[in-house]
Amino acid sequence: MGIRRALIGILFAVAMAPTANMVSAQPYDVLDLPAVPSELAARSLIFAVREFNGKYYATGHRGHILYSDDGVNWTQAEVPVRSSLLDIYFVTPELGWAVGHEGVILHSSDAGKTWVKQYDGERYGEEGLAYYKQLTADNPDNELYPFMVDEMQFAIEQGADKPLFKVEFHSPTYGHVLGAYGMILKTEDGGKSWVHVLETTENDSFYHVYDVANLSGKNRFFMSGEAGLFMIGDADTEVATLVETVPWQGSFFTTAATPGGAIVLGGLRGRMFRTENEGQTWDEVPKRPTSSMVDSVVLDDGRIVFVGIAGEILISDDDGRTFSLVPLTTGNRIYAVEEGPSGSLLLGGPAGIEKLKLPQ
Amino acid sequence: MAHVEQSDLPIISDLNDFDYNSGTFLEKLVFNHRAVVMAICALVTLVLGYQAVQIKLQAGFEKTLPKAHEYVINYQANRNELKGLGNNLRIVVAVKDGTIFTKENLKFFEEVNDEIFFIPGVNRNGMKSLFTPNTRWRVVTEEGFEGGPVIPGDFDGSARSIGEVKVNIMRAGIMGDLVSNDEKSAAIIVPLLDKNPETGERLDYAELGKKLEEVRAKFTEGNPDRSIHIIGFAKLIGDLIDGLMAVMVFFGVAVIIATLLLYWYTRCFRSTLMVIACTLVAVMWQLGILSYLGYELDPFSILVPFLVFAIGVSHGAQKLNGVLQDIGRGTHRYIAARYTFRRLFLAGVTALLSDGVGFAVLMIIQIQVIQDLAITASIGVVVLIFTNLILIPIVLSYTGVGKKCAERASHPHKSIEEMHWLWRFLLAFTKRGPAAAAIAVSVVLAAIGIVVAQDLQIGDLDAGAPELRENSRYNKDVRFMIENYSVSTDVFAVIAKTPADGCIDYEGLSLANELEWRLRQLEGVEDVRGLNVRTREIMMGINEGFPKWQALFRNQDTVNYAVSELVTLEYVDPACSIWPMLVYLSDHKAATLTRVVNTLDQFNVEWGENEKIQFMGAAGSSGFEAATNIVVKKANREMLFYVYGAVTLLCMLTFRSIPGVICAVLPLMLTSILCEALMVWLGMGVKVATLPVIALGVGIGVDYALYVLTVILAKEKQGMELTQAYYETLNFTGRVVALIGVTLAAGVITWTASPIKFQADMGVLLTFMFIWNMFGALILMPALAHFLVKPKKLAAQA
Repeated sequence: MGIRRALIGILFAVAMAPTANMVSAQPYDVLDLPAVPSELAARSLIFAVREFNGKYYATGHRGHILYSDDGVNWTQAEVPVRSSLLDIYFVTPELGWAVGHEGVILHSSDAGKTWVKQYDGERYGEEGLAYYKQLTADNPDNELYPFMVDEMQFAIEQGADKPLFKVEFHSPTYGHVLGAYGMILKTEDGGKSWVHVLETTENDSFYHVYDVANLSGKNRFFMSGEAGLFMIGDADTEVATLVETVPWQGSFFTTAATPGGAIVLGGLRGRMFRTENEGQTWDEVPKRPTSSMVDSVVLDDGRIVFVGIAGEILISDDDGRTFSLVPLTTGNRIYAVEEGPSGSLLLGGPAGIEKLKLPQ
Repeated sequence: MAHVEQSDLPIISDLNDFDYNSGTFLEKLVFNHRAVVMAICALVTLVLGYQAVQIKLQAGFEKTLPKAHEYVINYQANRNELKGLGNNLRIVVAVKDGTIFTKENLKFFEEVNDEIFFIPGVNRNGMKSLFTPNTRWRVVTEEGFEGGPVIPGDFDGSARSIGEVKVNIMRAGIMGDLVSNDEKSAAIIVPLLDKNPETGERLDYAELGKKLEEVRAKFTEGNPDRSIHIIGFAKLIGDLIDGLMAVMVFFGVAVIIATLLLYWYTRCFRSTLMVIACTLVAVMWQLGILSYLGYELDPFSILVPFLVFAIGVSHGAQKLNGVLQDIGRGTHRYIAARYTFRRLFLAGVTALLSDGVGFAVLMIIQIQVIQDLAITASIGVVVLIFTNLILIPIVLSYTGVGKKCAERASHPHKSIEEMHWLWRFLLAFTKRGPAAAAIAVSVVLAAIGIVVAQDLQIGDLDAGAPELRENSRYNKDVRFMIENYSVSTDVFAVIAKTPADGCIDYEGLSLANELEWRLRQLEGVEDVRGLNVRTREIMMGINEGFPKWQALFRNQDTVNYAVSELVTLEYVDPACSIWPMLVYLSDHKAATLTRVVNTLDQFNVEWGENEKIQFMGAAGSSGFEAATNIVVKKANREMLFYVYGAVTLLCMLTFRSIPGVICAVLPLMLTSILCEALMVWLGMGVKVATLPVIALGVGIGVDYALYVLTVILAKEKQGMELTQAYYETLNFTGRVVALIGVTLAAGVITWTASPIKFQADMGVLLTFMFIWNMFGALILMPALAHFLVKPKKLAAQA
């Protein structure tokens, strides 16, 4: 090495040194770090698999969002966070939202190729506090609002520790996200602003809300969650009321609205309950013992699929009255299920996405 | 060596004519009191012999670690906290027909389980298998957790009962861990106690290995349907100690081969026996001194007795040769021995010291076994000065040599035309044509060698425990485990260190997730486990096992709760500050290890400067191998540099001629190059075991050059042409060089049969180097001398 090159080398090293320091001087925060493209994305932890408009989407850990036309070849999207992403929803072929841990809400307007962060849990407490303080001031007689103020103060202390489990949009501008401790937010401007609507749900114990289902034709939505939580909401008034007839206090992780108009809840220890009359009466679904039911999907042909975390796949062809265990396996645990192209099931789990052929 | 000259000492057949005051001070001291010297030697032999039989066999792994490398320093500094890497055995009980889940097979498994339980050294509380009470299943219910032992208390072997067990196994998530994926076998995890709690004695690996083999024999002999597979560090050590025993048998074989060679050369039974006996005395002294100094024989240092023996026989052969020739000429045996001493003592010392240089250079490598090898070999060389340079002449002064062989030795040298074709063949290389051809062939060989040696790998290349052969019982068991269980024996443990009580820090664990994810991207990384991974799983468990909670979410209370469970499971030390991130690898090839090391380094460049957590290399078999590879790679070049530097200096001092140095060193270099090529062809990487080989090869190889070239140069100085000078050389020292080459090779070739793989590798390489260096000295060196050394110029100087 000539002297000149050596000098350049030294200068380069000196110039680089502070840069390296600058990088690590920042704290490591998954909310500030973009997801890294990885060959493993489709073969590692997947939390949700969803289909919208004939395209398939999956969300996973480390800010992974994947999209696919065939459920086999997946492309990783550009995502600005490394949070675990738990659900995704496309209201049009272009417009979509994804939610996850650290209370993160992401938005894509290019069919899922690139994403921007609209919201994260750091804002939840502060904005909620201002909102409920205002409500308390405006409605001094309301007993619930001061309660919410306390809750928000606690939320500020806790920081962005709460995951959002579900996202659902009803129009390109109007949507809801819901999650841990009964957290529920609403947007009416396509996610530019997210407002608290905790007071509209009758979830006084702040139980986690794990799933929501809509009955087609009826203006109702059904939310289920921790410790036997089941609420029926009115889509017009946006008010959800607690249903206290549920005959079991275990957690419900997944909710299916059947083509026949029934609601089937699945949860802890594989317990499943069905109601045909919006919660007035319940039947426990008779089935073999399985692990916890963690996700479900209603197929195009009307059959209903529930999956157990240990890898069991149950199918009902009688509108959810009975389920039978089918001899299908991914050889791994199952966290998510969706109907795939041409008679297949897409299953997500700790080892990524698997496509299995559905029994006829 | 420069002093090797056939001085024309008078032939004296009557002791009365001999001047006892002739010779050096040392010669007078030794020979005028030869009875005293003999007595002293006998006494020393007795004392050191007693020490020698007490020498211990040891096969630890710590001494093979590069102690100055930061990975090893980090490990040593934190080893007490890194309990997760404990000393475990994994014993698998397998059946060939059906599955383990029959009443009979489960009973068989339980019997083995119980037998293992009572082996001394087993940490019984920590033992884990289907039949230990700590193997439990657990499910989340609306009331919390529910669980029980996998084998229920009322287990009766009925089909119903077995069905229940199978369900429990699924719930416990122990498939691939305690039960094989094909259900044909089940495993017992056996933690070992480093010290016996009652006696305080250290675990005796040889004894444990024996006990395990007894269990294996007891339950599987005569029953081809059943097999027991055992892996784990302790078993490996046991097998290595067994291997050492086998190597001791090889020593006997080496002695026999050397004896036969020496007898073939001298045809004198009596003197052959004396030389071998004196050399064995040297080995005994050396072992005695080692034992006295507290050294143990390990798979590396056991090489030294072989080398000492081989070098001793070579020097003994020379002494014998001198005495034979003098007695043959009619000199009295006492005087003949004295003459030989007078002529060859200094030369012998020089040669031994040059061997010593080769050993001493090894001291620069910061790996204990190699340094031990250097020290023990140096001790051996010093011992040889006493036994083979002093004791042998004295013994021969008493015993003399057989009459017939003395006569045989006294025959005048045959002329060039009458010589054996082999010698005439060698002499041809002093002529222009053959010399040019020899050099041309060497250049071609060197070129090929250099090209091939480009592919020389660092580290161990074969699967399984690299210490043992691929088809050894142990490595077969390793393969069995890898095929049937989700385990890997190649583990690189990143050491995560936080401030006290800092292991729960959210940001620290996030950084751990980041590093984990980067490591998972690498080719060859099969799995990563550690505190952060388990924390994510427990955080899901705490939240009723709902998958969407399987994340490190930033709720410090939940993190605290999760980690506190893991402290009791020893995922992290009780002070909550040190834990291992275990990177399971598909192999331990250097490329795989380098990827891990580079990823860790890159991570630390980007994120190393934080106050939450530090990730340091490394423990685990692969961590140590990575460190060893780094050190070995560096040492390989350094060592060549030093050994050649030393050899060049030695040659310079001896020959005081640059062409002479070139003639001596170039053949050695050719051997070194070809040795590397040979390693590529044989699929050997540069590793701890091959480092000493190259130094020894060059250090001992230069001996030949010294013997041959010194005489050639001396003769040329006297005005001889090269061919004539070489002819004289062959008659004087050249034949002995050939003998030495073959003897040295014979000493190490037995190693190729060693059950310890790296010893076999060393045997092959050393044999190659000893033989090839001999050819280099006898063929290439005279050829080079033809072109480089100008006899007339030398004679003019003289």
